[in-house]
Amino acid sequence: MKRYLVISVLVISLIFFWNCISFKGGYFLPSENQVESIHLCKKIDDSGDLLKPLDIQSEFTSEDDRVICFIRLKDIGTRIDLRWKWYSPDKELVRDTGNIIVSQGDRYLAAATAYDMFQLNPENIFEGQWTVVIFMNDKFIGKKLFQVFPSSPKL
Amino acid sequence: MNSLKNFILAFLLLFLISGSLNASKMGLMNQSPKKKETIISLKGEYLAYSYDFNQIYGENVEFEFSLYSVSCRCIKIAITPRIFYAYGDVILEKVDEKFEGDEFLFNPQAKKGTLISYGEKIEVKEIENEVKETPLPKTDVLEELTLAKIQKSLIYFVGQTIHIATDFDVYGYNVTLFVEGLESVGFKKIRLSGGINQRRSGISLNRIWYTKSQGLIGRASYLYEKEKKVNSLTQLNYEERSVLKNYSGPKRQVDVMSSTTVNLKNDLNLGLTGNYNTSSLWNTLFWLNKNWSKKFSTQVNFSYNKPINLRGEAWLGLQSILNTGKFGNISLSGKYEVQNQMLANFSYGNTFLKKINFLLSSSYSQIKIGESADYSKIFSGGVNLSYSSRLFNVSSDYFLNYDLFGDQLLSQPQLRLGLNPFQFYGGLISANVYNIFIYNNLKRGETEEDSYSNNTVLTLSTQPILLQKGFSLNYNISLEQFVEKEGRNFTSGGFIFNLKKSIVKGISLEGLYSVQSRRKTKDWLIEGTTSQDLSAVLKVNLSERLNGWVSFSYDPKNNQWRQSFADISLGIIRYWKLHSLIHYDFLLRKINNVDLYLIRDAGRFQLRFIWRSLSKQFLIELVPR
Repeated sequence: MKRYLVISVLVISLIFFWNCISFKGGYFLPSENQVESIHLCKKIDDSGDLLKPLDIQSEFTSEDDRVICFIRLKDIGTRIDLRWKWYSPDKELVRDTGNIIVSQGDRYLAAATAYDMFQLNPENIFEGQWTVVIFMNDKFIGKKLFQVFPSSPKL
Repeated sequence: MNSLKNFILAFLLLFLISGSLNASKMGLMNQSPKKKETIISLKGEYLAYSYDFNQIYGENVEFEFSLYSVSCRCIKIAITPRIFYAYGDVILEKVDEKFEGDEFLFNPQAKKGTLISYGEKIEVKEIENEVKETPLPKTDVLEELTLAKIQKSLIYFVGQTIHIATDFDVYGYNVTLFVEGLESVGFKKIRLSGGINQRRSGISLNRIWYTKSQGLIGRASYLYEKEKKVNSLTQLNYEERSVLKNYSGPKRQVDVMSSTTVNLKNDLNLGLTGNYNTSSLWNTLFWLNKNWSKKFSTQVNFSYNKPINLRGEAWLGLQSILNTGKFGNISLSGKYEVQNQMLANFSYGNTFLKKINFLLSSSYSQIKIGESADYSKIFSGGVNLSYSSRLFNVSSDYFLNYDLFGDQLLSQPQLRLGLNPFQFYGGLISANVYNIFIYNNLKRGETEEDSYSNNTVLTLSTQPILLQKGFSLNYNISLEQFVEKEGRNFTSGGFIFNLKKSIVKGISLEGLYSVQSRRKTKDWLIEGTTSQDLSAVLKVNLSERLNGWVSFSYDPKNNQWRQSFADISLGIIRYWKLHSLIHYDFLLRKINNVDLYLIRDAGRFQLRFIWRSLSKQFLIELVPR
C-alpha cells in the first residue's frame, strides 16, 4: 500500500516538473499614471473628494447645452498635464484646452479626476459623429466618440 | 485489498495520461511557436496577457508590421474578435519612410493598417491599405480592455516578450503567472492561450473523477479537423466499477461514440456515425447528402443497429425535400430493411392567401412484431387546415390510422376554435376563450364505435392594479368545462391572486393565493376536490453583491405549513461569489437539500466549487462561457 502511494506521489511530482515549470520569473511593473476610465456625461457630482460623472451617455441633442468629457486616473506619481481636443463631424479641431496641470507630482495620488466641458451652441452644432481626444503629457491616452442629433436621440 | 490495488493502478494510469495530455492542452508544456509562423512578435517594457479574457495590454512596445518597425506607448489586443490597436506616440519606420501618429489600428495577418493623427484636423493615413478610411472597429471592446481589467483576471501572465501565431495562439517568454492577483511561478516559454474552448485536433483527456456510487470514471476524446473539409470527433467513456464495494454488475464499461462529416463539394457531403458499448450494443449510420439546387436536396443513408440479445437491423433509406416556393414544400422519404421491414412518409405543406395554412401528411410502416414472422402494417394520414386572423383562429384536422394487421380503422376529425386574447377596460383585463371538439370513429372488424368530447376554456387576467405606491394586485381566473359522450364530464375552475408590496428600496414581498377546484358531474352526482395554496416570497436585491429570495408555502385548507425555499447570492471578494439554494420541508421538519456554490466569474470561463448535500457530492466545474 505504502509503495503505491510513494510511486503515485513521485510520478505526479515528476509529471508536474517535467511538463511545465521553470522557476524563473521577471519582476515587471506597469507605468504610473494609469487611465481608469473616460466618460461622456451631462453633469458632474462634486459632493465628494473625487468628482463623479452623472448622466453618462454617448448621444446628445441640440437641446443639450453641453457635453462633458470626464477622466479618472490612478496611481499618479509624476507631474501630469492633460489636454482635451474636440473635433467636429467634418474632422476639424473646434476646441483645444491646451495643457492643464492636474498634478504637480510632488506627492503620490491613488486617484484623480478631471473634466472638460464643451458648449453645444446652436450656432456651431453640427449633427453627426464628434470626437474628443485626451492627451497626457502630450501623449494620446484615449478618445470618445459621440453623436449629436437634431432633437431627441434615435433609440 | 485487490480492489484498492486496482483503483490505485487505474488512477495512476489515468493521471499519467491526463498529466501529459492536459499539460499540452492547457498550454503548460514548453512549446515553441517557432514550429508555427508568428503574425506578430511584441517586445515591451510591460506586457500582460489575460487568460480569462484572451486579451493583451502592453506599454512601450515595439513590433514589426509588414516592412515597418513600429513603436508605441501602449498596445491593446483582443484576440477573439481580432482587434489590434496601438496608441500614443506611434512611429512606423522603414528604410526610406517614417510616419508618426496617435492611433494605429491594424491587421497583422492581412498586413493592413490605419494610422490616425490628431492635429488641427483628424488625419487618417492608410498603411499598405488600398481602401481609404478603413471602418474602425467598435470601440467598446477597446474601452473595456484596460490594465485594471487584466489585473482582475483569475489567471494572467506578465512579461516582456509575447508572440502571436498564425492560428492566434499566444506564446510568452520569461513570463510570470499571476493567480487571483498573486504572483506565483515563472515560465521560460509557455503557450498562454491554450484552454478549454480552443479545441484543436488531437487526443485529450477531458475528465477523470471518482464517486462512491459510480467508481472511477474517465472521459477522453479524439478530434480531427480539416477546415471546411473534415470534422471527426471520437469520444470514449470508461467506467471502472471493480473498485466499488458490494457492486454486483459488470466490473467495467466502455462506450465509444464517433461522428465524422466530410464535405466533398459545396453541395455534396457525407457522414458516418458509430456507437459501441461493451454490453454488445452498437449501431452505425452512413449518409450522403446532395443539394441539387437551393430548392431540392436528396439524402441516401444506410444504418445498422444491433440491440442487446436481438437480431441486428440493416436499413437503407432515401429522403428528398423539394421547396417549390409558392407551390409549397414536399418531403418524401422511404426506408427498407433487409428483413422486409419498411417505412415511408410523405408530406406537403403550403400557405394560401398569407393566412390559410394547409398540411397533408401520410405514412406507411411495416415493422416486425418481436421475433415472430408477423408484421404490423399501419397506414396513417392527416390533413390540417388552419386560418388565423387578428380576432380569432380556427383549425380543422382529420386524422386517419389504419392498422392493416389488426384490421382497425381509426378516423378522428377535430375542430379547434379560439378567440385571440382580447382586452377591455383600457387594457386592464385580458380574456381568452378556446374550444376543442374531437370526434372518434373506430372500426374493428364488424364492430364500430363512436365517441366525442368537447373542451371549453375561459381565462381572465388583469394587469397589475396599483393600490398604493409600491403596492399592486393582479388576478387570474380560469374556467374549464369538459363534456364527452360517455358522460364523464367535469367542470374545473380556479383563481390566483398575486399581491406585490415594496417594503424599502431593494426589498419586496410577494404574496400568492390560489384556489383550484375540479368537480365531476354525472347525472345527479357531483364529486370532486378543492385545493388551496398560500405562498409568500421575500425578494432582496440590495446591491449587485447581495440578492436573493426566500419563499414559504402554506395550505390554508389543512392549516399546514408545507415547504420553504431560499436562494441567496452574496459577492465575497473580487469576482468570487457565494450562492446557496436551500429547501426546508415543514412536513418532515428538516432541511431537505442544501446546494452551495462558490463561483469565480473569469471571462471566458467560470470556476465553480459545488457542494450538494442530497447526494453528498463535492464537485469542481470549469464551465466555458
